[in-house]
Amino acid sequence: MSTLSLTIRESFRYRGHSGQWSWLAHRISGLGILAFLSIHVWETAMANYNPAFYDWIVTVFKNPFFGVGEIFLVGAVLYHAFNGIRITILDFKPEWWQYQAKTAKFAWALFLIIFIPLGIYLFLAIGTYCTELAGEGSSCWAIPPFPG
Amino acid sequence: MQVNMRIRRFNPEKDEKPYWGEYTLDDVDPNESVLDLLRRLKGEQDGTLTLRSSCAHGVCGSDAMRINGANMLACKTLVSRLGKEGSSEVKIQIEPILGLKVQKDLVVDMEPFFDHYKSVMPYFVNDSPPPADGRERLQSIEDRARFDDTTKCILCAACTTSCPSFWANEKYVGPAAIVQAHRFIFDSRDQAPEERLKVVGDTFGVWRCRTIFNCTNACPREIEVTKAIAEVKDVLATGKI
Repeated sequence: MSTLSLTIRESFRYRGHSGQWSWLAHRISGLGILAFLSIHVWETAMANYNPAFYDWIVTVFKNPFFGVGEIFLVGAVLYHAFNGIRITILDFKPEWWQYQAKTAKFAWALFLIIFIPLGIYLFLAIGTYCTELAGEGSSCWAIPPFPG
Repeated sequence: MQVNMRIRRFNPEKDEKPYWGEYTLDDVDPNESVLDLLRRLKGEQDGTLTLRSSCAHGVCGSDAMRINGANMLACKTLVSRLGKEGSSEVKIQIEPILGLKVQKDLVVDMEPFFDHYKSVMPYFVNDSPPPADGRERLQSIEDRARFDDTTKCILCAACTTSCPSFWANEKYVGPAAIVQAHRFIFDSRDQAPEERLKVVGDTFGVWRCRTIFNCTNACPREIEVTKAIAEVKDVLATGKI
């Protein structure tokens, strides 16, 4: 009776408490990191197999679209790390289970305290990059032509 | 007070898909349980409404269902707990528990759940001869306390069907079966912990647990389910009971 659609739908519909939302955020951030790593490994391997393509794709990744993606990636890594530590500790110290809701909130707080300023900093860096390019008469949104 | 109920209905002989049935009950006492309301509804408005219930006092574990989004026992859930304090109208949404096939309305096929239960050998194993005086095998108070919490399980399936790992894969033995395994693994008189650990240490055993705590929150007997699972994980990791 278990299906993927049931699992995805009910992961959002079921009224679990903080533990369920932590798990959901952990899973989504984990999948996001996995997606990034897959692209990253493939793209880096291209430096060996197709250097011209590699140079091109590195420029493409400077596009603000990917810049914003990078901010999400930083957020995903931060939350995944903090909540991962929380789960690991709770698995090794079962007797601390009654603090799980508190630690879930703590992981979120720690994540927000670090992510908000870092996110703003990274966002402003995208702005600086775009302003510089605009000064040179080109656009940071423009995708460079593919070599060959 | 007035209660507006929204119930997930499904009759496999008539309906292609489940649908929401909407009902209104007047003159409800806030101290009535959800099971009281369902029985009243069945008696007064729609006799075809199908549900399981037996003792109505939170002991038999027949009426686990999903009330306002989360698993609870209908007989232990009072209307006053579901509405805002002082409000004269309460909305209650009822669905069958998840991950098990719906047979009709709120009744699900519990067989896969009990198959997992049986897989952990939920019975006392000790082939050594009983004490010479013919009386019970004695145990210290500390040894008995070690597994006291997990003796409280009533097999209602509220925990197992609240677990996203179980929704994702029905082969996962589930929190309830692990609670039963815990009850015997940590019993100093039991002689089959290795066989039970083999089952719960399998691919579809305790390692499917993602420490989500939905089971602990759902348990109507307030068993510390996630803690019990973590203790079994610990035994598997360290080899020490």
